[in-house]
Amino acid sequence: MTTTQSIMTATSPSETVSRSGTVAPFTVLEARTLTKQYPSANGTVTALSNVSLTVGAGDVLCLLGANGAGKTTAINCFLGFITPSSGSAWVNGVDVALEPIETKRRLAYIPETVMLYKNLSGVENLAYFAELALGRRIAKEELRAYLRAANLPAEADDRYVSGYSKGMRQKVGIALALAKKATALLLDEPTSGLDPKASNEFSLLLNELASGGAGVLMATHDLFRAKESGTHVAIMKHGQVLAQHRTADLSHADLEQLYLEHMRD
Amino acid sequence: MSTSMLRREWRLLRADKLLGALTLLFCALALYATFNGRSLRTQQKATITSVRGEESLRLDSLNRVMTQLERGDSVQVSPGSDPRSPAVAGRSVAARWMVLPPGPLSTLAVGQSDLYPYFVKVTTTSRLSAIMNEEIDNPVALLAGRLDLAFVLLVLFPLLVLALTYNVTSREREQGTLSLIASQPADVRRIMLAKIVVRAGAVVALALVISVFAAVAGDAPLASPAVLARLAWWCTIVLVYGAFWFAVALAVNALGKSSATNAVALLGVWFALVIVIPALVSNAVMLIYPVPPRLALITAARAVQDSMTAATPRRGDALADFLAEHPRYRGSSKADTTDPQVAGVANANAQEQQLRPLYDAFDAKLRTRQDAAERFRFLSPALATQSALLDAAGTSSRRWRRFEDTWITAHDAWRTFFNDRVFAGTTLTRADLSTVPVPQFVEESTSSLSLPVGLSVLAVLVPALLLGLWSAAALRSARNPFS
Repeated sequence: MTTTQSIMTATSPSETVSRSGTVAPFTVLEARTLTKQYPSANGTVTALSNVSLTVGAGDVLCLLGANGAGKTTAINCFLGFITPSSGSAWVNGVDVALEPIETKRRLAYIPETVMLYKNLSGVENLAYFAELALGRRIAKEELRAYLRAANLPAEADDRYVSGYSKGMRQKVGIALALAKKATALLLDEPTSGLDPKASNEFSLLLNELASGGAGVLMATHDLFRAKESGTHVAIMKHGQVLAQHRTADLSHADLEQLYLEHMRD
Repeated sequence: MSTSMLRREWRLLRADKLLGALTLLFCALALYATFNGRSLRTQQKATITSVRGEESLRLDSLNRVMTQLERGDSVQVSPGSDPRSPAVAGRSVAARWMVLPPGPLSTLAVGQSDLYPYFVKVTTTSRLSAIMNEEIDNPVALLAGRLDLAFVLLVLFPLLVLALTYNVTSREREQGTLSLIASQPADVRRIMLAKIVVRAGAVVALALVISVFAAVAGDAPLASPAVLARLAWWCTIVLVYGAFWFAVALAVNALGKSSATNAVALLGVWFALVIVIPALVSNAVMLIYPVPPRLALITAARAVQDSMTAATPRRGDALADFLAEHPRYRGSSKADTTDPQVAGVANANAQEQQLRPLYDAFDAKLRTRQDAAERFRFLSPALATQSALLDAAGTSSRRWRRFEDTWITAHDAWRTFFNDRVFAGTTLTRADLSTVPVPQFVEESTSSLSLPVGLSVLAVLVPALLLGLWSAAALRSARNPFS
C-alpha cells in the first residue's frame, strides 16, 4: 500500500462497506425531518421542510436543486451553523444540536471556495486548520504527505495561497479532511467554477475518500458530476426532498430528465 | 484558552506583513521620541552643569578673596563688591543656584519640563527678579510640544492596538475563513479571545520593552530603587492603558459588525477620547480659569520696577515699612537710612512688597488651573494616563510646584540669613559663609506618587474592566460571535 493509499483509507472506520450499497452501510450522516423556518415580513419563510436523508459510509449523496432549494441550509444544519426549527441532524450517531464540538471532530467541510489565509503558504494553512481541528501540532512531513494525497503539487506547498487556483484551494480542503481523518464530508458546490480537468480530478479524489469509507453529502448543480461521483442523488425544491435515487439505476439522460421534470413549476 | 491556541494565533499574526510594517513604523517613532527626550535631558543636564560651574568658579573666587582679606593681604575691593558685606554677599557674590534636576524618567516624558524654569538664583533681591532672568524658550517650539515617548504611547499606541484588532472577527467572516474555522471542533469564542489576547500581549509587550529600552538608553538612574519604582509605575500605566484599548476593541468586535463599521467606530472612540475631550478640557480650563501669559507678568513687574525707580526715593518710608514687618530689627543700631546696606535691604523689601501681589495672583491662578486640569483627567483615559505618565516620569507640573515651593522657602531663609547680619553690622568671614542655608531640592518620595498615580490608573482600569465584562457577556449570549 502506498502512502497516499494509506492516508486515503485511514478515513475508513472499522466497518468496511461496499459503495454499491448492497451491504447496509454504517450511517454517517442522517437528517431526521429537518425543518428550518425564518421569520419574514409576511410571516415565515420555510427553507427546509421535513427533510430526511441518510448517508452511509462509502456513500456519496448529491443534493441537486435550483438556487434556494435548501441544499446549503441542509449542510449548515449538519455543521451546526444553523439551528433547525424542528427535527435533528446526526453525525456518526451523534446529535449535532447536543454535541456540536464532538460532531465537528468527524466532519470535514469544503465550501464552494475554500478560503484560506492569504499570507500563509499551503502547508502553513493546513498546519493552522489541522491544529485547530486536532488540538495538537502535526509534523510538516505528515502535512506534506496529506497535501500529496490530495494531489497538490509539491512545489505549491510553500507558496502563499494568494497565488492558488480554486482547485488548489479545494485540494488543501481535502488535505484537511484527510488530516482530520473525517468520516463525513460536507461539500457545498465544490466543483462550481472548476475547469473540467480540475473538476474531474476533484471527483476522483472524492471517490477515493468514499472508497476509504467516508460518507459524503455534496450540494451541486453539476448533473454530470453527480452521476459520475455520486452513489445517490436527492432532488430538492422549495426546501423539500422530492426524490431520491441510486445513480447506478440512472443513466445521464435519465438523471437530466428527472431533474428537469422536478424543476418544472 | 490553551497555549497551543495562543501559539497558533501568534504564528498567524506574525505572518501579517502589513501589521509587521505598522509595528516597525511604531518602533521607529518610539525610537525617535526617545532620542528627542534624551536630547532635551542632555541639554538640561548640560545647562545645570554650566550653572553649577559658574557657581563653583564664583564661590572659589569668593573664597580666595576672603582668605586674602582675612590674612590682611592688600586686595582692591570696592564697597559695592566687598564680599565681607552681608548685603553684597547675599545679593551677588555668594548667591546660589537652585536647580530642578531632570525628572528621573524625563527621557520618556518631557511633560512640563520644557515649559517651566528649572534653575533659579537664590539671592536677597526680589523673588520676581529671578523669574525675569529665566530663559525664554522658542514659543513656537513650546506650542507644538516635543514628540516624546509619552506622546507616542498616548496617541499612537492606541492606533496600533486598533489596527491590530478592529477586524479580528469581521475579517474572518469577510475573507471567508470563518466557515472553515467554525467547522472545526473548537469554540469560536475562544479562538476570537485567543486572537485578541495574542495581539494584546504582543503590542503591550512591545510598548513595555520600548519603555524599558528608553529608560536604559535615556540615562535614567536605574540603580536607584526609587527610579525603578517609577519605571514599574510607568509600565503598569502602559499595561492598563493598553488593556483599556483592547477592551474597547473587544467590545466593538462583539457587536458583530463589518470591518469598515468597526474601523469607523473605533477611530471615532479614539478621536473622542484622545483628541476631542483633551482639547475640550484644555479649552474649558483656559476659559474658566484664565491665566495671563508669563510675559504679561514680567511686563507688569518691569512697569512696577520702572515706576519705583522714577519716583523720588523715600528711604525713610521704605525702612519704616520694613521695620514694621520685621519688628525684631527695630532695636538694631544699624536701623538707619544712612547705612547703604540697610537702605538696600529696605528697598529690596519695598520692591518685593510691590511685586509680590502680582506674582501671587499669577501663581494662584496658575495653580487653580492646574488643579482643575487634574480633576478633569477623569473624563478621558488618555488624560488620566497622561497625568500618571508625567507623575511617574517626574515631569509633571506637580513636581515643578514642589520645586517652586522649595525655592520660595529657600529664598526667605536666604534673605533672613543675610538681613540678620546686615542689621547686626556683621562683617562676614569664611566661617559665616560656610553656614549659609544652601538651597536644595529634595525629590518627592515614590510613596507619595501612589495616590495620584493610583487614582489615574483606576480611572483607566475601571472602564477597561467594565467594557471587558460587557464584551464577555455579549459574546456569551451570541451563538456564533463570528456570524
